[in-house]
Amino acid sequence: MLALNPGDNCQRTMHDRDRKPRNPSSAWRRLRAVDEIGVIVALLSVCGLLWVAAGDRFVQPTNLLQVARQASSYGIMAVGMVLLLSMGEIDLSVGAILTLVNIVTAVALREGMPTPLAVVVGLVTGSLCGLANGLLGVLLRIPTIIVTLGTMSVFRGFALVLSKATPIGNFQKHNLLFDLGSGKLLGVPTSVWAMLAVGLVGHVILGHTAFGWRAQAIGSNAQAARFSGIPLDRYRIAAMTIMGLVASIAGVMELAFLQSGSPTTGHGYELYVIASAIIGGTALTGGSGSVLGGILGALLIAVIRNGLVLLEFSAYWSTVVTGAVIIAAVAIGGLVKRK
Amino acid sequence: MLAHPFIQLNRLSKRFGGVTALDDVSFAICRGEIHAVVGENGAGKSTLMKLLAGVHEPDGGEIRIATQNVRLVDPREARRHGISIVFQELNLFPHRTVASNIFANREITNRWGGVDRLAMNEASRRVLAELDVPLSPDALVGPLTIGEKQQVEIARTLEQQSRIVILDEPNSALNESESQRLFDIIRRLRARGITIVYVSHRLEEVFAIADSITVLRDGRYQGTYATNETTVPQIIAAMIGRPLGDSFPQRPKDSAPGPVVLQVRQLCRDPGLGPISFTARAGEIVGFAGLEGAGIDELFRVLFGLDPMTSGQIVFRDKLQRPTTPLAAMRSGWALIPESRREQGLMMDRSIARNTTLLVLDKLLGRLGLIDRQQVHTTTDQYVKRLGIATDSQEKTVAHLSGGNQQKVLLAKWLATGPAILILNDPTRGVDIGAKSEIYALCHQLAAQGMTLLITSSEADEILGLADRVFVLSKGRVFHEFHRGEASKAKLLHAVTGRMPNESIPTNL
Repeated sequence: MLALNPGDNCQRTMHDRDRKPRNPSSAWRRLRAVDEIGVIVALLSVCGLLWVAAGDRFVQPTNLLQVARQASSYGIMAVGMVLLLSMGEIDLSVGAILTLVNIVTAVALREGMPTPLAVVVGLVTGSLCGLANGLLGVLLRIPTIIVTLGTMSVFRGFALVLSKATPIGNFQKHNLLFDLGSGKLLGVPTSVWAMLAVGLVGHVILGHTAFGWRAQAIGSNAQAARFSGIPLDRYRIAAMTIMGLVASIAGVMELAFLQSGSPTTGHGYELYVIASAIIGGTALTGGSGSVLGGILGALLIAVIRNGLVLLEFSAYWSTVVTGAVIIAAVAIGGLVKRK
Repeated sequence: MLAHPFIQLNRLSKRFGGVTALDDVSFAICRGEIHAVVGENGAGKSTLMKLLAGVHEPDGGEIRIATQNVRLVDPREARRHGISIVFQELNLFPHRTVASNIFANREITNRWGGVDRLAMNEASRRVLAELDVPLSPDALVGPLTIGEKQQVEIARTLEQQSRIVILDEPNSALNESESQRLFDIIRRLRARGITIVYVSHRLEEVFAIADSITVLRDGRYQGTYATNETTVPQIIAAMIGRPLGDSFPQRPKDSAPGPVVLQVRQLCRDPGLGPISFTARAGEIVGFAGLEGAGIDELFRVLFGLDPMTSGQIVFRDKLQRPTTPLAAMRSGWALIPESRREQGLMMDRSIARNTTLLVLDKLLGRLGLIDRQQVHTTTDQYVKRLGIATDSQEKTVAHLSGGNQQKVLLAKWLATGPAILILNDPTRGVDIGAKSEIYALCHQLAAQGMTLLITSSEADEILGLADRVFVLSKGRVFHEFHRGEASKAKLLHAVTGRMPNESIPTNL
């Protein structure tokens, strides 16, 4: 009976299936034009996969909040990185700045400095690191990728010297900073709120201030920006300093959560931070960037790292897989967005 | 010379998109002659050479070499027919030796497939000696002078047994003695029976070296002249063709320039620029004419703060100025429309709105110092309407606009700053005819409002048609000043070569 009566129905279904991809609805096309669509699709699919593979362990609220907290470290820094990349600059030393600020603040507390002052000392240290990156690039006319490749080692070295390569935790644990660091607001860890706050500020700077628009103009065409009277050097130094400040906020938050300064914290974060920004739709070639995308990218990386733990990959293998998955995520993002 | 047609071009035409670069061009080139092809920028010289070199294929017509119809589908095919081209931008590997450049891609190999350096050096030495060029085959190409690099390229064509050598503007970067050297080499090639096609827009050289001269204008063939039977004025007349001034709107009657607002005194920038002195009035359009390297670009860069000046004074509205950065220049009322809108002018991947408002964002801030998008929109809209930028949305990416509309966005961006002095460096390059006359009308309108315009152009017509006064620059100095109506195109073309308009150019050197 099936074979005898192929009929019209069958053909029409074939036809419909053929037609759909050729005439994508305008909603789909509009969706694809959204800058962050790549990372959203990637995040949803990875979450879906983990839900299937790891089940409840993944979707538990405590686990999800843990993921968000992990994401906050790179998420905060990704905000600065989006600004830098859209200007056509990059900073490889962000992880090292985080480590150094983490240690400097811990040492300040150990030496009995009042907490607010210690925090300020940490933030100033990080900003000065960023300022140094910017000044070195401008004065010596070296690309920031090379400058920060060097300072990455310099800053990390200072952190080792200061800490004598051991964790610093022998200070008073009951103070405002640590209460904040381990605390929650509306059930969400403070560091996640910090990420959202930094993200909001970054979004406003990039999308709604003259500074942000001009920074993107520099990334789009630096020579034309020079012909347009935009002071490139000042912008470069300012952006690198902002990156340093942002990395030191992440460094202080890390200390607040762990309640001890560690010379190994922040190791390899530059990879996650740059990958977050790129996965989020910010072009390495400069010109435009999405802060929201950068934060979603950080979430994606945190989810991937969490998933590898849940699926009981060995720690060594999970390092391999993280790198591979990041490349895949960037590629998928690019495929979805390609017009 | 034998009047035997060696290369026969028959009804060649070539279009690029909507632009006709060559239109029905036919002429013959004899064996063993030096045949110059002259014309203004955009006359089709380069396109013609690229057809001969196999870089482009003609849309119509045929090329015959020694009566044989050839299809030069790619440069390799052209080379197989014995045609070599030496482009204006030389094509060498700077980190390799002279010999390996002469044999690039055709290395002599020994029996194990390795490169036979000795054989290549020996062969190179022979070829260089034939041209009487004292270069060592072992020398690196990078540190050589431009003239020497060119000699390496010519040696390469000789080694390839070329029958036809095309030289594209070979003298544009050479000094006097290097030019003489080049002429010697070209004559040596001719003595070996090689046919030379010599492309140039500098008539002096052409008259010094060529046996015959073909003139192109607007992609059309204008005639071929034997050098010893023609004169410079005759060739210039053929190059100019249509009477000047057709596409230029009449200036409004009441456009008498105002008071002197700009005084440039003894301005110098080492090396090569100045001392230059000139003045400009409010509402005046001042033209600058000169060849590449005459110092116009350099002058504009100094005025706009892109390069520091070495000495001299710029007095604007009775105030002494030191433009140290473009930002400082902009703040004191200067604007510069740069030569290359893609590289120096626009953020090509950003929208019309972003480009138009980039320089005036500080004036478009709302609450909390944030950018007020409504104001961005109205400002952009105002300029889109005023300049007639053809687009359906101001969010459109600039890269997707036509050349004329891109140029209007660039003008809008700078007009938004409300400048008092507007520098225009070749403002209609790559712009269609319609947009061109709109830009001319805009220039008149701006001058009528009291703005001072400093303009140069790759088209002599444009400078003559727009400017109230024209300064001719040569070797970084003001060589001559023409007032409106004084200069004809022929006089201007004479003057830019560094000769007084009433001197005659010797036709046979």
